[in-house]
Amino acid sequence: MMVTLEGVKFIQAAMIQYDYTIYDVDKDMQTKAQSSNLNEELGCVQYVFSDKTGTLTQNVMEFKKFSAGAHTFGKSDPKANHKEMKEKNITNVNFEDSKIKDHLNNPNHDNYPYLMRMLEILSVCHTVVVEEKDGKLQYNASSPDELALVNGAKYLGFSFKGRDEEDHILITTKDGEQKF
Amino acid sequence: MNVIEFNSTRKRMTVIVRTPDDRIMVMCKGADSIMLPLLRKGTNYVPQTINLLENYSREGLRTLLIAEKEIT
Repeated sequence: MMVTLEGVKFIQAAMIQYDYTIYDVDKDMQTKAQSSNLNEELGCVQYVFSDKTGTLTQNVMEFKKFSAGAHTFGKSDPKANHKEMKEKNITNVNFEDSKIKDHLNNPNHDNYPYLMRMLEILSVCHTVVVEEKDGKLQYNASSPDELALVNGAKYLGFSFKGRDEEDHILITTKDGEQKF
Repeated sequence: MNVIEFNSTRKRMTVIVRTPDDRIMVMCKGADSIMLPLLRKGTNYVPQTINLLENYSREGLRTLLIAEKEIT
């Protein structure tokens, strides 16, 4: 009886290891069953609670949606233009919106001031540091949220350039360089 | 001029800057639960924004609020 049970558990563990639906493509790794004693308990699990971001999730943040004034921008299933992102050296942005250009480029639009305020804050209020690598600016952030937000602002025309010797924050907008 | 970095008690970060047009602004971004009570009464678009925040979080998105105030 005991032997049979052990045999069953061993086969279950093997089946878990060979389950291609839980195979990690990025790491080219199969699931590893460290122990086969807990199979039946694993089968009882109905809910998984996670204490914080990054424990069970990847903790990769993307800039997808925002609202300014009474308008909301971005889509739930954005298909960002990857080529454009690469050319502009922008990461962590997955944003698509048809009306944003209209709001951004028309100073007479009701929403224009709100958008400008928001983007300015996004590009100024953060602790991201800039590193230069192969002539390209690279953002280094302590949290992935900030990286996504600063890149989002950059995508929408408020590009963070770094800090000068006196710790002023430099950004470039369509009106040129600005110093805070 | 000053940076108050994020910590888990305050759940927000703040910078105080002198803008190019020589005003002093406090700019703040943080968790909605912390930011909402800090807003001045009568801030524009608060109900709409709360509504949108709820929609965003229901989609599983991470939500943040940003705000600013001029210091005089």
